[in-house]
Amino acid sequence: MAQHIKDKEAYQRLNYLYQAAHCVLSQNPENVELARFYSFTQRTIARRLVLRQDPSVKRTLCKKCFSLLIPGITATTRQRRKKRKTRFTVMKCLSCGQSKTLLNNPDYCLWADDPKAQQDQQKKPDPGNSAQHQTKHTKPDRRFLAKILGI
Amino acid sequence: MTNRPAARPSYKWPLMMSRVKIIRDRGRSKYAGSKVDPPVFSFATVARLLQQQGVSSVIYLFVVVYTPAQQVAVIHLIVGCQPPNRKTKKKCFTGRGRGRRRRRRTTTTRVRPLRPETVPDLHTFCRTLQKVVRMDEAPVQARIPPDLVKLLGVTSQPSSRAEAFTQAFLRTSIQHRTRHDLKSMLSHKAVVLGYSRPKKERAKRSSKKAKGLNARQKRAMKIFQIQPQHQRYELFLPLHELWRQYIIDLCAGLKPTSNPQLVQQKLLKADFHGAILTVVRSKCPSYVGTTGILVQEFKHIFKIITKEDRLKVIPKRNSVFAVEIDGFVSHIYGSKFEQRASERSAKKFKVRGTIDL
Repeated sequence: MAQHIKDKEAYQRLNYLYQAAHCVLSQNPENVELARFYSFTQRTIARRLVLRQDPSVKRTLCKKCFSLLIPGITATTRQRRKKRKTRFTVMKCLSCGQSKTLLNNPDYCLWADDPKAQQDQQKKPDPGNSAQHQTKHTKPDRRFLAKILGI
Repeated sequence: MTNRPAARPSYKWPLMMSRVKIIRDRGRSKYAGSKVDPPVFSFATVARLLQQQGVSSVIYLFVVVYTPAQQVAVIHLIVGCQPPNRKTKKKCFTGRGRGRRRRRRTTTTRVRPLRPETVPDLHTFCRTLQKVVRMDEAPVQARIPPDLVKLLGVTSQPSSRAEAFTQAFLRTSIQHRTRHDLKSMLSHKAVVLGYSRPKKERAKRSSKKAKGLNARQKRAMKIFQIQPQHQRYELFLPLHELWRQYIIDLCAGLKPTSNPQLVQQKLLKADFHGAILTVVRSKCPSYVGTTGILVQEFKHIFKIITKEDRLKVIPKRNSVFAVEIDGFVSHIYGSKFEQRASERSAKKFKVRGTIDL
């Protein structure tokens, strides 16, 4: 599947906005609104251009109010358990109260990482930007950087 | 045991004993209900007395209590001792049916017994205790060793940053009793007029997906609030650095190599959050010369924070902005950019007539 050049720029923009949100939040942990604005812009771009994002990025954004979810600062993380199934991780956004439930299945394989999905996209997009965007403020993003572009 | 005054009553703080069976009965009962100050012991005296009683290990706790007038700090030294033999220990019946089996657990930290001659007075004792406590806390405040850094993928932050995060975390987790401060309690009284049970939301089961927000909720949240008062220009400099790296990477080169056309094409779709903008020409002359880092971009305006930590709102229409990247200056005609930041990357630009200011 050939990659459009425009998409690559759009992906870079998404990536940059995500990192900018983290950067801003790391500078001032109480300023949640600006991080929210940036992630809202990111979401809107992705929605307009119908771009796929990696689940690890999507999981850290609240779906309702678009805040960046960082456990401890903007979100609460709890482990709960249902009798029948295995345990859940529940992340609750502190600003809007929206909770996100994730199942703790260690064998769960994401579709993006599935080998069947890899066959569809033979040609991966260029990892050109991911290595150069590292500043010391966005330290947890090193893992997400490459994942945004589906590597 | 006589209650004699201390040899050096340098501190007039009363000394309260608890959980020391021997001293308690004799010390406080004599003064119960009277207006006399309880006896003042220097710490040396206390230690000596305890040693005489045969107490081997001592645990010390400090409690600082402020009187309501906030004028006097009263330090109570609570001494809890572990009696040497178990027989003298009181059994506590909690009375829940299994009370006999429940014992009150004494704390088990052992501190080496302080000899009276080694501890001249309370002040020195405080300092030694602080040293002891700090030694136990040192591993908490140390940095993460490098092999763990690689394993976990996190690095320990400098203490100022860590402190900022801790403050933010505490502020969100601790409940703020806004209604329980003294003044409001004394001036207002809430009277309950009627009771009504709030209706339980039955719709919780049906809507599991996030439904999104309406415009009212959006308005309540998303904009900047009063923060620029404590948000300074320096905090946005790292953002600017990030932006510069992003742009260099986007253009995949610098000024001498690529033609301006290509760079401009890319800039159309690029994001400007974090860029340093300057207003070059404008219909309104008071805007000209404003420089700052772009913080937010809306449909018709830019929000810029200047070096003097002021948030300026500049409309896009009828203005020309200049963006500078490593010597490559590009002018942006704001009138053509009147789209939301997200729409701009989706939109194709047509060449229309230029606007002359």
